[in-house]
Amino acid sequence: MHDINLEDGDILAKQKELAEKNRDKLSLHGVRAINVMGAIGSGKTALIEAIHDKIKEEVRMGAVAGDVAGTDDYERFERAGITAYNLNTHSDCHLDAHLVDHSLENMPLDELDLLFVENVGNLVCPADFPLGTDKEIVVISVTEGEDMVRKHPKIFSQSDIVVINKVDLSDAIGVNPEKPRSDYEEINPNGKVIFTAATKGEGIDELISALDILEN
Amino acid sequence: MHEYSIAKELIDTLTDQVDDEKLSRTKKIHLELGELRIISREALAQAFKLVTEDTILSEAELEFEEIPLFARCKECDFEGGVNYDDDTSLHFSVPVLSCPECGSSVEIVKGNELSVKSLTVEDGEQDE
Repeated sequence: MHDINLEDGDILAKQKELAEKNRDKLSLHGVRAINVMGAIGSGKTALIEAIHDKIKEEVRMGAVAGDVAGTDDYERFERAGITAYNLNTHSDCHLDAHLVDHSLENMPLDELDLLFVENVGNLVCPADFPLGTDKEIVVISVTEGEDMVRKHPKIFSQSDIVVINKVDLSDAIGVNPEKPRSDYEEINPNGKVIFTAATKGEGIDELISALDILEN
Repeated sequence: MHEYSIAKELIDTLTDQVDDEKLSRTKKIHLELGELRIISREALAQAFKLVTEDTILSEAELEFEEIPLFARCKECDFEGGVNYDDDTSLHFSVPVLSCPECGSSVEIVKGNELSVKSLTVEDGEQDE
């Protein structure tokens, strides 16, 4: 028996390469892209809709609706007038760079300034799969309780922004949004925390500002 | 949760860099798994076995070496392991990803690995 080494043993090397290719393609077309990750039902789609509502006159926005199955989010985007593409993984619990590459091939990138890629609802797997976006945000809501950040440190430590959504329900369900905020600040001192109530349009201006959307 | 797709990526990594003849003689695949990688060894081993059944890699078994977290502070001189949140309500220990000295952001130097360290291959005629 003898041992042999590989030139590059990194199993996710290909994923990283594809992500870089996506980034280059987006850059070439002048499109900024944002990976929207988050818990199931935390309000990712509602946030994208709310942002669009505020910026549609100034920014040409598109969205990729990523889910295991179905077209529910895609249809919501379409109804809101957002240039959208539906992306189903069929089994995978996360989007990956290959799937995003596929969606970029099918979107009118020359007609867009900004692209939101809504990832599959999951706080674990998407952390391992870079998509080639410019920013990564993670959305949680008070309805998941106070310990989401502590239970999933990796995805939060890598993110640029955490959005804590549905804060209007905090009192009703007895959850303090300051707890996940301080947990996040502990593991990601450079990340930004934004409180929102997306369906009410609250906190959306702050989020738009944090994402530097209107500064071109 | 996505061990099946990781198993496929692993196989692609191997077939891209090692010829089939060597792969058919491969008995062990030594993997480095960083502490931060949320991957089930059992699920990955099972997925790998399933996907490689009746292939040239069917004799190969996965072996895992965990790589502990090693962080470097972006502000002060600290280098080393981080603190852990041992709150019993969480039922497990969670690494606190900030500098244990000054609380600033850290760069994860080690602990994110998901890679093939080496292969143990049965000697063949060409190896002598």
